[in-house]
Amino acid sequence: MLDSSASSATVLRPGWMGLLAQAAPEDLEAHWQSLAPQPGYTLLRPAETGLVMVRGRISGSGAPFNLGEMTMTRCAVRMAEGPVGFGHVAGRNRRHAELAAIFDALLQDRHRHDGLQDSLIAGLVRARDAARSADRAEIAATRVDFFTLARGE
Amino acid sequence: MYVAVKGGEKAIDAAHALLAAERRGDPAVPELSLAQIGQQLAGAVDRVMTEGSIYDRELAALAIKQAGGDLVEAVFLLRAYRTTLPRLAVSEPVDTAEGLIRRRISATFKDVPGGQVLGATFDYTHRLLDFALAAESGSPERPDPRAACEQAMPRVADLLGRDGLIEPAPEAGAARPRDLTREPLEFPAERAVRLQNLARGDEGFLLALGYSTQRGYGKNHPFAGEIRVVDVAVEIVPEELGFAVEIGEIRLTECDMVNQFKGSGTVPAQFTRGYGLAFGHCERKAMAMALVDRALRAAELGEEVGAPAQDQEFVLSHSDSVEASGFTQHLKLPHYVDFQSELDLVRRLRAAATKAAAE
Amino acid sequence: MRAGTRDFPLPGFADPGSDSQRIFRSVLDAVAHPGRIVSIEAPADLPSGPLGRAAIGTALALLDFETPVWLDEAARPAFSHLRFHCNCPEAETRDSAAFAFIGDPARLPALDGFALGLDPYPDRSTTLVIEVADLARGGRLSLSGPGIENRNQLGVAGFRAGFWSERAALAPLFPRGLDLILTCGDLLAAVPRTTRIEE
Repeated sequence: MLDSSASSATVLRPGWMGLLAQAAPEDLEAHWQSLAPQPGYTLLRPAETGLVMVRGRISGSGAPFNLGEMTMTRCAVRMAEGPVGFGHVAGRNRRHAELAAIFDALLQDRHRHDGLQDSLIAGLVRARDAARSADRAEIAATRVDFFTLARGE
Repeated sequence: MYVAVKGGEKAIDAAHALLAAERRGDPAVPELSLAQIGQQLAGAVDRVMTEGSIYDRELAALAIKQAGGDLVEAVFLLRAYRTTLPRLAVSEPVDTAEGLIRRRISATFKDVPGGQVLGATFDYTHRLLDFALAAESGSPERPDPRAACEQAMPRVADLLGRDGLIEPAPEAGAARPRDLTREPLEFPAERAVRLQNLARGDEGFLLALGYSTQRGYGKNHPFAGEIRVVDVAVEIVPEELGFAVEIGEIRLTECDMVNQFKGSGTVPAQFTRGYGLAFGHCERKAMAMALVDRALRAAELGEEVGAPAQDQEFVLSHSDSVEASGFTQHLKLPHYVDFQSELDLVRRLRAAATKAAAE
Repeated sequence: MRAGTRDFPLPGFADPGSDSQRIFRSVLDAVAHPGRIVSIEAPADLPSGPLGRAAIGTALALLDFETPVWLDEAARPAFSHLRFHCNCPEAETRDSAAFAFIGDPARLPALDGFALGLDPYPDRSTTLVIEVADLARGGRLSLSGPGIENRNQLGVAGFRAGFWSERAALAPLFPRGLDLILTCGDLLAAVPRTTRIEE
């Protein structure tokens, strides 16, 4: 989801939607509060919580089967300035879904796109990468180094 | 026949109050928080999510708290809550080869590409009660970080598959997999439906059945080809967007069993497979599920079907703890009239026998 | 009433939880008392086309991504609105539709082309929501059967001649059959498969 042709790594829409979904809602709220003035918007589809049936694949790579459900909250907003944004967020946090939709809309706004990529999205990418590296490093410590014991003559 | 029983309202209200008090226990002891349950009883949360069939850690923690730790009761609570939420979407099939792999072991090959990564596991503990945990021990030391292995972790089955040594994973047909939450179970059930049933099935039941196959009730020579615990991205394709978006990550435990090989005049011998998949870190469940999945394929693989674990109707009709618990516990409902007629019958039979003996 | 465009979909329910519950209750009431006319008060905004508030409100309340929908040509302009709010898939054939929305009852296709249900699952039939030209208490149609004490009189305008006979021809198939929801602007009435109609 990275546009490598851009001078800085620009995240494309599917990518930013995923990042907004896994961002900490407090971070999104803080960013929203920092916008002055806050753009107006209407709720096209107010945040609603429901279920997504998660599918797995038989033997990991084969035919799909229904594994079980997970909660998800989705929201659709229309900014006063025009763009329509969608949020689809795992879990039951309505405000998170609303903020994800708002920022999805704002990122589609030509005038705001670059600024938000720098001030919001880049930070979300860094945070996610840092958390993953830290996890990976601890998990790697549990990888077994087999060595052969040479038996005496 | 059920008799309408009246007059218990006051007693029931009092029972609920007593339940709440006993659930809370000694008020001088700090109350459990959902965060504590979610963090420090993650094993319980994972099991309740898997059998309750909703991946939502907070909801599962709440169910566990409300059930006072009775996990089957907690599963019931989650299943009931499920019915209040609308279905919004179906996910793209998750890819367990991608994502953060937290544990990956194979019992079939020692040196696998990507290595044997133990992750967090009970496997090598000595199962001695650790009394140090009786006191609050603060934060334990985390392992020393190590440079992550950049090597890919292909599926062990794919390594065997390269040489045609193992049956390939079944291909997707045109039809979408049937959904047990939408349509009733009908026999014979196709494999996708069986797996859905097993995934939400009671772990104890499946463990016993899986064990039974190992003891000879439908033996199929299992090897743990691969076990993975992985955080996968879940994607949906919303209608209004037309492209896939990630809604979040979930942790899954996957078990690929390598089983008894099978060949025929036309098809050279190949290993067969069983598959298990569960929410969270639920290894025992995933392994048992894989053993039972393979056992239920006995007919399809031309094996003699005789053991309980091989009997679809037996396994799939009794795997659900909510159904099983419901019917078992329904016996507590008044059966006064039924029993009265039984009592009368017993008395009459005895009277008749006594009379016959006297003559 | 504003027409929605692809870039600016119209809003749906202002209060989805309460609005859909209220409408569900009203439709249930109408189906349980065939011939009773109820009034549907939401949503505020309607897409272009002949379908009125009662039809659109019923759609928003009852459709979801698992109910394939079929619309006749007259009702088609509403589809993108319903798709946006309900995620409802389009039925490939009439007999695979869970719901059918009819904007031009005079040109309603043959009833037996819709799903009539199965003997073990008679509910798996297409529910028809039909926008009629007029719906009024009293009137030429005489309704009797379950949910009706003696007879209910209903006035309905817009169907082609012979429609009610065509419907009556399905009666022997019971429990299979079709349930009709008749809408006219904000008004709604229901004619379930068990209702006998005499003209």
